[in-house]
Amino acid sequence: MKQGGKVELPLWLGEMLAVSQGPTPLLTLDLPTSLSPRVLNALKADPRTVDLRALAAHFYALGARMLELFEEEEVGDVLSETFKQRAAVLADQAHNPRGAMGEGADFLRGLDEQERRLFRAAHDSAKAVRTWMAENKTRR
Amino acid sequence: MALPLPPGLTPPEVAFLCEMELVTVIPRQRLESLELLGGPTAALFPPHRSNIPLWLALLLKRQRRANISPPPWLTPTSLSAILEFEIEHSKEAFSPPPRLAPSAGSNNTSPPFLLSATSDAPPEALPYHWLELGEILLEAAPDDFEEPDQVRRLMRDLREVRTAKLRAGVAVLDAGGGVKMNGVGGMEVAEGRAFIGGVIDGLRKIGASREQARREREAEERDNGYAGTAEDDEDEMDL
Repeated sequence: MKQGGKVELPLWLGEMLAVSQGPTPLLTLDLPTSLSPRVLNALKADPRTVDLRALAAHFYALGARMLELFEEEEVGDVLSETFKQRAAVLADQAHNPRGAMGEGADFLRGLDEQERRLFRAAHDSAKAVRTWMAENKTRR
Repeated sequence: MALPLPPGLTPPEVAFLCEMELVTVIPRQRLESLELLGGPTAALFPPHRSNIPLWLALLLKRQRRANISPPPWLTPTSLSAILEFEIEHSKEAFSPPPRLAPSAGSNNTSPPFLLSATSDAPPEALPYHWLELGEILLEAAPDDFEEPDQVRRLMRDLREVRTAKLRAGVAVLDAGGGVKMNGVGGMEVAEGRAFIGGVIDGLRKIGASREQARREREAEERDNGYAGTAEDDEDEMDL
């Protein structure tokens, strides 16, 4: 590493070096490319069309981690707004069994890990109610 | 994961609880009062109506010893009025739950002590177990309804409308905020719990660092004696 140069480091390493003891920190951190202004603008414009998985598999976890390191009010706002709006779409897809086929497929491929868990939860509970209703019909 | 089941009740469990509700039956045969753990059941003398637990009513119905009289809210007139209210008059909120009788004591304020499925239940509101009870009655005793198909259709419409509202509710959620869920039924809670809880948890994680910063700032202000006392009290109430 040269002084004044830019390198990409794993988050844990960069973080350790940035907060390491000493008169001056060894390096300063920039926001990762998956949280760059371009991405944030795209999210602000329409959260539903962005492929979060391509940006980072754990997009929100990364975002939350970066918010601990940086004081970025705006990033936090954009992230929670994105999460909310995408959660609403995701719920629709999870309740609608044919959602996985047509136009919803692209959106579902772009979910990050946390959203996938959420999708699974919503899908499973909707399915549980449907299963109960079906059993109710056969039993009586 | 240690527990195979998610937190909360599963739909069969909710339906099981629903079978505790009292319903009105028109018996065809005599049946003496039964001494059960939950107390004695009403004695059945045809043709007098009695209120008995749903599970017993279903048993008697299956043996053709009784007919179940559907609760007044489970009629096309009531259901379409409620549906209209849900669609036209309250775009976000759910139709309110049945009002408590003014004379209701401290121990009969909730199902099954609050009679919500008998023939004298309020006709203008959906009780807590509306979805389960309606589904079960429609399957077990369709011949006791005057227009079962229409009731079935209205129930399906109501469910669609309310599920959509529950889902739209997350858009206004906040890490610390809430969405008004008055009047949401047991089955709907069971269905929405995992998703809504997941959204709140996600928002909390994203907002965790900001919340932390806010706490620290407030603690600092308190130490320096800046903040007004009234505001502090309010914050503590929130916790």
